[in-house]
Amino acid sequence: MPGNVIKLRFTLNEKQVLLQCHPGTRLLDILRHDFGLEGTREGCSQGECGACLVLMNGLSVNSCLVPAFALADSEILSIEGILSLKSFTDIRKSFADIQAYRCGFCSSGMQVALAALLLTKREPNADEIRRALSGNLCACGSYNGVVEAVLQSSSRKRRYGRR
Amino acid sequence: MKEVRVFRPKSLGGTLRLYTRNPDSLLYAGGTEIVRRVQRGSGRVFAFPQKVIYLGNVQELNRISRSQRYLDIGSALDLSRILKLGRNVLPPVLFEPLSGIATPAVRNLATLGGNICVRSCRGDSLPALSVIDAQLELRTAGSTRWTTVGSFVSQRGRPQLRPGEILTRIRVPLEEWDFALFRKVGGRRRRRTLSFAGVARFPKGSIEVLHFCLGGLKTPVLRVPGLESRLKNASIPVSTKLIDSLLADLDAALGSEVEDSPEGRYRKATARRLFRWFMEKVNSRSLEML
Amino acid sequence: MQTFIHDIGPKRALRGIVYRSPFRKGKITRLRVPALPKGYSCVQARDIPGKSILTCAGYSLPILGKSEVRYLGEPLILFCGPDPEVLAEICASVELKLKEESPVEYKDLSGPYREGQIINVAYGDVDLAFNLADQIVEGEYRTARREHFYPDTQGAVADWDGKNLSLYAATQDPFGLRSAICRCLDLAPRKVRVIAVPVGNSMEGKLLSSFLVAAQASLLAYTAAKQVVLIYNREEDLLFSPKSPEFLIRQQTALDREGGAIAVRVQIFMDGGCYPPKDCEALRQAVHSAWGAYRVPNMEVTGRTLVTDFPPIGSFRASGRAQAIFAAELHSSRLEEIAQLDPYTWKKENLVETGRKEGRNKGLRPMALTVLEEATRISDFTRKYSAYSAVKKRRKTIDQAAYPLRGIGMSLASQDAEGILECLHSIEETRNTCTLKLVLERGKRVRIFTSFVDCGMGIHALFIHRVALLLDLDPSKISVQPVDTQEVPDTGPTTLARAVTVGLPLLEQCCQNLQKKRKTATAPIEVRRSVSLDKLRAPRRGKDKSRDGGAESAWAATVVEVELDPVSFQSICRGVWLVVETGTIAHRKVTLQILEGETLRALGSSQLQEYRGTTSDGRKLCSNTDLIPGAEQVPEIQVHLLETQEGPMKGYEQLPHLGVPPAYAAAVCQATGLYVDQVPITEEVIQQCLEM
Repeated sequence: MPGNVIKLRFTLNEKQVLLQCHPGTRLLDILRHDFGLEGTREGCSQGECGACLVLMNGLSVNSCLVPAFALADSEILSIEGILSLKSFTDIRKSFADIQAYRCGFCSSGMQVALAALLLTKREPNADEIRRALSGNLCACGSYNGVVEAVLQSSSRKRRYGRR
Repeated sequence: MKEVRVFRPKSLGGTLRLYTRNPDSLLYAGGTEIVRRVQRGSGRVFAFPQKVIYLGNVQELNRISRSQRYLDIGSALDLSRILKLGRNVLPPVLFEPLSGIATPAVRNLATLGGNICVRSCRGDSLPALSVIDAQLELRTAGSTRWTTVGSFVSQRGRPQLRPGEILTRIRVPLEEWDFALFRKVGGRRRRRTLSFAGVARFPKGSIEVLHFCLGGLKTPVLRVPGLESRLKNASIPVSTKLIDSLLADLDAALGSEVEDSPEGRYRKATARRLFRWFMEKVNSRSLEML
Repeated sequence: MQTFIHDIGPKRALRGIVYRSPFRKGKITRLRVPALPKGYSCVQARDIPGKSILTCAGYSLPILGKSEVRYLGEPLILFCGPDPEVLAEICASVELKLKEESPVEYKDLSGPYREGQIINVAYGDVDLAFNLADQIVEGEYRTARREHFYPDTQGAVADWDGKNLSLYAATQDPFGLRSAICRCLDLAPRKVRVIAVPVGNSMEGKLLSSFLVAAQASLLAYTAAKQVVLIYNREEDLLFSPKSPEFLIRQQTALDREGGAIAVRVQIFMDGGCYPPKDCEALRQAVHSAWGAYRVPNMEVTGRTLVTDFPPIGSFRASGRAQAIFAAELHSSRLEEIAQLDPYTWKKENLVETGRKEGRNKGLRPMALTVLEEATRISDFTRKYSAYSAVKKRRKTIDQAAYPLRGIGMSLASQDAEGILECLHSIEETRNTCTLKLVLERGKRVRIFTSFVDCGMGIHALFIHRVALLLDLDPSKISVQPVDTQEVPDTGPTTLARAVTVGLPLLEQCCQNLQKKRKTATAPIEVRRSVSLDKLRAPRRGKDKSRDGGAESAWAATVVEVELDPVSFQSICRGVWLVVETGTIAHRKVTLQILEGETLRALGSSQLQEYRGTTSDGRKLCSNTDLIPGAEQVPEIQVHLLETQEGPMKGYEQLPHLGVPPAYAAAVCQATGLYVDQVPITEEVIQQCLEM
């Protein structure tokens, strides 16, 4: 195989995919340009703002920091995949209800961070939610709205039971 | 676009042999510091050197083993997995800096080995590893040696790796300390942070051993052995007179460690305050124990 | 999910790149472009068909440098082509030779500079008052130059088909942009179509740079006769975009025997950067806000824009006014000490029209007093202020304190209505009329046609809510038409204040018209209303020529409580209380969200974060931005709205930026016992003050 291009096999949003690309291509660009998944956004390009978060093997990672060669055989869930998960429906509804975001640029990254939290904790408290969001910067300052959305969603689940 | 060849060894032996044959390769584990350095203006493709050895699949570098006396941490293990050990297993003075590195998502990628070997030697873990006398295992295809953090980090801030050497394990002693503390100043606000790690043991009313270390100055990992030895056998609580005298020693040690600028003067003054604060905490703790 | 500019642009579009000067200042002696591969184009200054100077809201910049470079990163050449990696290599091959000049490094703005615009305002007899003064109090207050950090980088997508230009741009002023592009390409307005894309976290330095990137994309598309996508990368957007200007403000106050202010003399120096604006609204705002919410019988204010070698400045939220109010509030805290009054009492006594001696309540602005009283009450200000003052008196030195240092500060400010109307007014073009249209369609659906874009300020949500309320319709059936200059009328450039003070009244009039027409006509029904801005510019300047106190001004009292760590001097905010009077409130939830978010941003602008970037040619640069607090650093923020159901709706989004920095600084001063006269306040600044 020429050094410029590698063949990558990995799972993207629960589907097996095969990609040929330069080994140094960023996961962020693979998602946006090779797969047209534009929900993952480029913010700071340094792993500080969290706009580019995805789930890799169940853990949140900054896709701006992941080169293609690290992807082989991994499972990637982008925001598009997460939004289609049943377990995330309540959160999505709560956000819409309380208009948690302002400009919305950071929203994908925040939802991925929350999805990672919810995979390990069903009903997180406010401190846990804030800690999970500690890698997401919102220039509009909408954190309190997001925390409220997650707590409301948990409260709704408690009242009506899980699906 | 430059050609980049990526090797993906699965065993340590294979990795070491590969590295011996290709000493100009970039060793890549979590890569969170590397990718910041190699990004190009167009941003799409990391400008890696021609050869990269990816350590993510090397079993021996991605595991933790534990004995009664030590914890051996693989250098390519990500920080999140290390932190899962919890404060009861990981020494608190090490748990604090690791849990404060970057963000949760970055800690899912970044490794302890990377934090130790980062080019500027300003990894947050270094002061803590220094004070607890952690040992670093460095291996080539034909040799193994152990060294301390202080010896590993040069005065000029470069990791002292010999040709063909890879950092493979970090051996963390599981000693009990009467008091341990880590503090970082700066964080996201500042280009350069200042950190302080300190541990002490003081059975029977006097200091048996006290180590402290400042990170982030010109000397990346600053220990002051003379000051530490003055505290050995000192009765506690340590008197204000002695603390002031020790601060004078510290001033001498800090003399050339900061530049003459507002930032440098702040860092020097803060280093002094950190030490005083640590000593006051030692005193408080010792009184609690009496 | 929102679609931002980065999401637009099909794969077949060409990519654009900007070649920027790696030098800071000099005369260009040689600028050689390498031979370009097939399919690649370039544009230099001489290729611009129309005007090469871009003008926006009073600020001007060359689109491309021609014979000289005035700032690091100044755009010199544009390239476009199919492969971004090839474009990067082309940029690296450009040959630039410069007769370099050393930029003058100024320690602060008090050095000798070339002066640009000067504005003077005076009333009374200041010289006489100073001669008669019992005491004169002087102070110097600084607000530093800063970057605006936003995660979404600027960009534009342009397409030229040989006759017409289509432009996707993340801009708050699509019609203003269209005019700018027409001037640049020498085209008639009907040939240029601007489609506004949602702008992330609005205003600040994005306004001018959104015009710049759009002009650059348009030039490339025009030259290549293809669709071009031009997106700035993180480094170039942050490091080379317009900055919030540095201000140095000197306050002198003459006091009588009782400690009352009888005269104020203020000198304002504003860093105009290397391309200073000729007619700067920020300077005007600063001059007219120089003594903040307080009255004094004699006043003299001189404001100067200085021509420096620093990067260009841009339009920022509350620019000029925020800096002036910061200086006024901090200076008044010195006067409080001299008068031995707590901040609340001093502010109450000095809100009078003509000074203390004239009687306590003469001409008092009722709303200002109400917000002040409410903020004092809900924050428990008086008790905390006394307690922290007592602790401060007993303490010897802050760096040996055994416990966190606490302080509480208060400020009072108003958001001036007139400034909102002047703001964003292009000096090259008079856009005096604002128009909004509503269409009622079958099935009780309504579409709102306006040029106000969605920029994270809840404007579209506000409009939908209002229409639903007035027409008694389901909000899900009301939508805002995508902002396209071929489809929507010009309601003017977008700010929340404009949307509230101009847009909402127009919307209400349209709704009234629609209600009438509904009785006789069948859908679709279209109604349109316009207003002339001249009619809205009521005379607001009183005898004192200030701009405060007009019925349309919204008021806020801000209280900030901080805790400083005595080891590192890092501060955490324990609480912010913001009491806002903003007339009739259009949408309570949106208003509270906006105020909370802007409070957090204003707190960030009182502190500092160093941004590390590497340019495309490998140089490491460091720049200062606002600190963006993370989720775990959000303090308790209480926003109280004093709602009245009468009177006009007022803009309010500037209020946190006006009130938070001085309240924060006052709190830090109390906590440390030091006079900290600048913002952002860093730990190094506190250390310096301690050593003085």
